[in-house]
Amino acid sequence: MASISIRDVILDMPIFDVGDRSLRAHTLGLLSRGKILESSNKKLMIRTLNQVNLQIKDGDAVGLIGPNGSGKSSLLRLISGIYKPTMGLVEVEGDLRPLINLGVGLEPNLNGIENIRRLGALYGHKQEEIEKILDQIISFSGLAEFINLPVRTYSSGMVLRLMFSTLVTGAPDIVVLDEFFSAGDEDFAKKTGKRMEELMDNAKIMVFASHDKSLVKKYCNRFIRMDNGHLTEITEKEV
Amino acid sequence: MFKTLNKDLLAGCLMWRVIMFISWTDLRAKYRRTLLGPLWIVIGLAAGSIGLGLLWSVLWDMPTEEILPRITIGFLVWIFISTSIIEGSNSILSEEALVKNLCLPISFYPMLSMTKQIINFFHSLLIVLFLYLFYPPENMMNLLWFFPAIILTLVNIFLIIFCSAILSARFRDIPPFISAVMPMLFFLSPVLFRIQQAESLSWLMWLNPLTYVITILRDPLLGHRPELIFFIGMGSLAIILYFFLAILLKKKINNIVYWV
Repeated sequence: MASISIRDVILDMPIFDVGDRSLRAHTLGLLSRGKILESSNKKLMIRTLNQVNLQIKDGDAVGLIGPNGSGKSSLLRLISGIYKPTMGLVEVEGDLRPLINLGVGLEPNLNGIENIRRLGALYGHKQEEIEKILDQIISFSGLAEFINLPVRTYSSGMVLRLMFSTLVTGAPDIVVLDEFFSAGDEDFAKKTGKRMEELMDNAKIMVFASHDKSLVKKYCNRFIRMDNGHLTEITEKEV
Repeated sequence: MFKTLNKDLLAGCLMWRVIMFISWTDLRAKYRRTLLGPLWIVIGLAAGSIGLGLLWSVLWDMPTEEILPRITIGFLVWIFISTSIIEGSNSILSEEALVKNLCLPISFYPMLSMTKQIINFFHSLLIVLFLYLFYPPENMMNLLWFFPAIILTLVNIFLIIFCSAILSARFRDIPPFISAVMPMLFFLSPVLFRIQQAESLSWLMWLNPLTYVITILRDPLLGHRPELIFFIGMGSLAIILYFFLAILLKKKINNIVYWV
């Protein structure tokens, strides 16, 4: 049983500028009790999530929509355990795999197969498990003979194929995806859609943030609009 | 106070297979398309340290069998320590993409950086074996002291780079500061000469913590028994660093992702 429970969460994110990162500015600020370079020691805090409540259970494919800066990626990182809430509680049960940025964890000078092993290791697979599903991943990626080339020679669409294939093979309980479909071609988009449907048929959880409303409608069965850190559950018609 | 640190360290240690795998593939990627691969590290270090040893024996007019093993082993140990600290202090910053996109223990990053340097160091120990063919250690039994010495050294270096990696993420002056101060520490370390040869400046060398690290590792490899004071000094340093790290991580662990 996989589940995500977010209760009364507030997420404040500090923003540091060049002055804040300087040891000299910080030391002078401390020594002068804030009289010197006081302004550079003031942290700018942005409330990226405000009083967020959300319960997600098996079989939920949650689509997040909203303008840039509305808090979609912050919510994905919060669910993935990368950000910890300033206030409130986040509980996640199940094997969670995030795909928030393309290319993360890849070594450009290694070939596709070696990078599948790397990514698999980072997603928590043992090497023996990776070897068992390696052929399946290569086949799903559709990269054919390109799989033996260094990843630095790949287009962003090919990187997406490699990463998505590694992410969804091996039946994770929860998949967290940020906007990424634009990088893939039509053929891979079809395969991806099919894999997502299979994933949801097995009563797994998917959380997917996108600006593309048609994709969200296609793959999701729950819809959430994010606006200025606030979350509102909406119907498919309202998307 | 120690709960956050211990939990993070345990989670990092449980990822040892991943750390070994990523470190190894990183090194393979670095030396891909080269003929000798990581052996270039050994060749580079051998050329530098043996060349320096031979030159020094002429300049100081000392017998080669005395100065060459001392300088070669001292130089290898110095390269290991300084590279570990310089690279390690950047270990969180250099893996920015992973920090922001995967939920991994913070200790994963210094462990990853450290593992790469350990692989390089054990490669470079081939030079020491080669050296023994011509200049065998004075007392073979004293080689056994190398094992407690390397464990104590690794613990200390790991704690140093863990602290500096966190602080470097927050204060961007720290990595260039460490790189700038390393050459000075090199000349205040007993690598190129003995502490006694520094005469009136020898007290400065005793203040340098790297003097202890170099001595404790080099002495057993030369077949000498290291003095107990070095073990006590490094054990005490590890305890102080552990306390400092526990406080730092307890207060700042949730902020690190925003700093990178």
